[in-house]
Amino acid sequence: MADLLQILTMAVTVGSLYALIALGYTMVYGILKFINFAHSDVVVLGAWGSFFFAAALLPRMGFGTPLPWWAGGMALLFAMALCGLTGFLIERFAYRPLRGAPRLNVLITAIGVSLFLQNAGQLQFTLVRGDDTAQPPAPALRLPFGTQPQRMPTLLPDQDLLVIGEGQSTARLGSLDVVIIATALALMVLLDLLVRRTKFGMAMRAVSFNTDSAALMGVPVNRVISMTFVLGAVLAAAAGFLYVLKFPTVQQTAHPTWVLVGLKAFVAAVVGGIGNLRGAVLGGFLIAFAEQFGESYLQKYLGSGLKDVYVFSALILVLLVRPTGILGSPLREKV
Amino acid sequence: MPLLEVRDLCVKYGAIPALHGLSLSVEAGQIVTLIGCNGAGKTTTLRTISGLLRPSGGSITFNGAPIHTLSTDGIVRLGIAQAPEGRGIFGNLTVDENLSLGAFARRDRAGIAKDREWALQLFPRLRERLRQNAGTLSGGEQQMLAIARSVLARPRLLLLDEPSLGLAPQIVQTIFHIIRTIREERGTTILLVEQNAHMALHTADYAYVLEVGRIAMHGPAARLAASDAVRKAYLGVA
Amino acid sequence: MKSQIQDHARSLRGSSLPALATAMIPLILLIFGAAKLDEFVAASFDRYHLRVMMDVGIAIVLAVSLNIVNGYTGQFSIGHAGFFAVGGYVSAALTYYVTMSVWGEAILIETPVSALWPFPHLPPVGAWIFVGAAILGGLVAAGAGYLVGLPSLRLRGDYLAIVTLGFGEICRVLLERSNPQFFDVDSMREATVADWLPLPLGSAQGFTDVPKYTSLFWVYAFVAVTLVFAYRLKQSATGRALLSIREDETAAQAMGVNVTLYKVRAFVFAAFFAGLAGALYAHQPGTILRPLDAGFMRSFDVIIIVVLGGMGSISGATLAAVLLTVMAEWLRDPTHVWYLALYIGLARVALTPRDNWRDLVVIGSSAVALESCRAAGLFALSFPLLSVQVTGYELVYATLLVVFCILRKDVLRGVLFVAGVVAFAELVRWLALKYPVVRFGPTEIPLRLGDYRMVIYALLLVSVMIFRPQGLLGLKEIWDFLPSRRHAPRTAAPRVSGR
Repeated sequence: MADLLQILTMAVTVGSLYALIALGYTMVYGILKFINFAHSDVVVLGAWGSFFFAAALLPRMGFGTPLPWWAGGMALLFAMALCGLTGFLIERFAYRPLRGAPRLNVLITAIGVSLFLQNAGQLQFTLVRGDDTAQPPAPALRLPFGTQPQRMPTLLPDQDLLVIGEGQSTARLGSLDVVIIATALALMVLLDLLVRRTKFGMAMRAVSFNTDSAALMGVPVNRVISMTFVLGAVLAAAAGFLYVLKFPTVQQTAHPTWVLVGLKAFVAAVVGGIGNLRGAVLGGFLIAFAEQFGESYLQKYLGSGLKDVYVFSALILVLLVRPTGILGSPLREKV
Repeated sequence: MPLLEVRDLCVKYGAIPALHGLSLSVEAGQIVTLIGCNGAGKTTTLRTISGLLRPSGGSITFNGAPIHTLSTDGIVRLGIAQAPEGRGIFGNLTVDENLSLGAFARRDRAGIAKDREWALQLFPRLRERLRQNAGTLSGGEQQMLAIARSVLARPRLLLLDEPSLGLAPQIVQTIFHIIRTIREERGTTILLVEQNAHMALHTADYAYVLEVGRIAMHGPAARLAASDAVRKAYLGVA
Repeated sequence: MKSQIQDHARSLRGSSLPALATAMIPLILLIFGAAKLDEFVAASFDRYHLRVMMDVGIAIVLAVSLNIVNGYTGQFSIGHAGFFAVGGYVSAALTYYVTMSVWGEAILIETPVSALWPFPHLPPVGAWIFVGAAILGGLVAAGAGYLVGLPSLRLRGDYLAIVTLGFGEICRVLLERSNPQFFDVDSMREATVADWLPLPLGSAQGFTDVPKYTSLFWVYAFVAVTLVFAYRLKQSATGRALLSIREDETAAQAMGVNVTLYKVRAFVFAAFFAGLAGALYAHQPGTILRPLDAGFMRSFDVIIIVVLGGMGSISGATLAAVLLTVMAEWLRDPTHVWYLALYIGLARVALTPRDNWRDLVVIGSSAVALESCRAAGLFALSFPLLSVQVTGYELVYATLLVVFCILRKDVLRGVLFVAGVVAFAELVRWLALKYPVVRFGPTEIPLRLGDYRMVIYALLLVSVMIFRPQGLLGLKEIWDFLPSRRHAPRTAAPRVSGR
């Protein structure tokens, strides 16, 4: 019983992270019909951005431990602003010139952008102020990127809210889990309201259905697309921030951990039906459940460490039964 | 000065020219029709006027100002709305939302509400289906929605691309009747692209005949309808 | 009636004997060339350069094989590294464990074949084990290709692509979870079933100590086989069926092409050659097979080559494989950014006014020629220009650039470009040398452009996609750009593929 609850907590926490990232994939796919492979790198930027804020900027602004309670919120906003800007720039300078180009080209460009972000993130900059003859130079500000993993400072204490069972089989619900799930859900609800209830959301849906026709209605298509990227990037920033809250080792930008997080979120978007916002959320939770439950209940038979296999098998199974994902609309073929 | 003036317009798809030096003008308050066969360049002309295609040569002026370098949404804001070929309905949105998108570029809430009421009076069928997904409408209803939606932009010039395409003769009659009503009640200038030359010439004041990317003939609609060449080629009268 | 049609179809295809001959002659010539290359080059190059040349060959096999699925058939596979890894691991395990069980340890078997066989010049026994293992690896990969191709019955476009991605990732995870390798005969003999299942493929550490059979000869012999096969396939009825699927799947189906069958075939062929490439890689000196070799970053490397070369163009894929592999290595030396700027300048000038591809071919070949002259130590002369030591080599490039500009009657642009390139390179150097205030890199070395290798690579990739979206050669082959008396049958016109 306690085991089950523990797995459930983990699945919901991880699932809400996947869902946040999957939303970004699905929004871009819905509008531009291409897989934005650089999206996972924006998540990484969000993680590093919030790390930078917490580890470098907060101390310089004069906050020591214990950090004020709103520090987490500030870090989140900082990461969101950083990623939103990055998302905007990526769309403006890499994808917009390729509007209407063959899809494979756009995809390669996405991979190029992804490579760029990954590798640029591994460079280590140290800005040295004033006299540079001092040996060794005193660093004024060190951008904490690089090839070494970093440890995220604790922004929020993780208190036990609920503990069931004891010994080997305990289920624990920490305050961190609650914060993560609540933040993620709040963002999803906000996005849903934005897309369904506002004029901008209506324009977004119109552009995704028929770009030319939307333009003929006077919808500024380019601005809508830019905003979609910004929105996706902001959600990715939140996911990156929440991820390093939960798993405080901030790995270097090209680390396989990140690649896999992005890939699974993408799988979630596809499983839910790519292009469909609610599908992305559903897919995110489904994928998290598949990996957590698979890992716990199939371990006896298949061995451990096969999380990723469950995820991709779930993907292939879902696609074979429903070729466009669970909530995806059937493919329309033009003859 | 004509409301819309197209001069020596050239458009290419890649290396293949679609229009070579097309000129036409639309006087304010008129219904002007552009007729021609498949592939003559009718839709290309309208898409270029709306800024969905970029001309490789020539100019388009609206109300005296060049518009061929503007973006599509900028052109719409100047007052040129289009009901595109194939209707361009947003099937994932409700009829109501489709109508609101028509007024996307407008800010005057009261005016929009009034125009919406007027459009719904014009097409009572749409009122019954406001909450329905537009994708579930029949072809005729979709065409009505497309026209209603473009009227909601309160355009000075309305571009209609083959409103009769694929519709039952009964509904075609209704649609053309409504086109005339729009001009009469609103004074909207209309540029109508049609393959149904008979109905188009009957409705319009002035007509252009387009053949492989060039204007072959033009004149008052009634006179063209009476000319032998047009009767043979487009009206199917021997 | 039906048999009549079949007879007619057979007569249209022509008899198969001349076809075999036209395939065999270039094949034999190419393999002979590979042997000669091995003889001359292996003696005069150091290990690093040999390695890069082998990398190039492996990249060619991989790219040309992916081209069968992506380029000919228009199916988007992003799990190609999965086949590569399957081939590599299967062949490596075969040579490693077979050698170990027969000879007691996994070493290179140099026993000449002549002991068993009357031809003295043939490669030794070990090499034949390697070839057999490589082919088996290819076949197993082809089997995997069959399995991956099957879902194409139901899935199209992006969704099929995602399944291939899932395949590659599953391969990677399964390899990570494999058992540790047996390092000697005794542990192999004493192993229980639990040690054999999952297979002992070295887990996440990778599969090491594989006998290093891959030589320049074998790499280029396999390149020859791949190229000839790919070319013949494109000319065959099957190839035309594949191309028709790329152009319009529905129309192809309507014309009676069994779309699923041909898609599966494309996957099988592509997987086979990817498996061969994997086998070459596995036995290459200095490499360790790792589960990440099945991961999607490696798949992307191959896709990039195919798209850069031009979809469906064999020579394009080959050219791009050479260019990209060499460039990624070449950018390790920071000073090469200077050359890179010049290369881009040349290409840009050659392309700007009109799209004349003959010029690019000229530039490409002269670049290769110059590069080999430089490697051979010609152009030793050098003199200082501003802060840079300019060599005769760079001078030749600059001259070439100017000549092109004059030929194009576009002197101003040329001068501006040379000035721009020099100014840019100067700026970078100046920043690096004079202002160590901004420190790049973890160490105290002022500016390590080598760190920027992948960043520059990524930027180049994005620019190529934006400025030359159809790839280097588009849908054409190199020889389509040569002047010819008769009009060679062109491949289909470029498709304006919408979103």
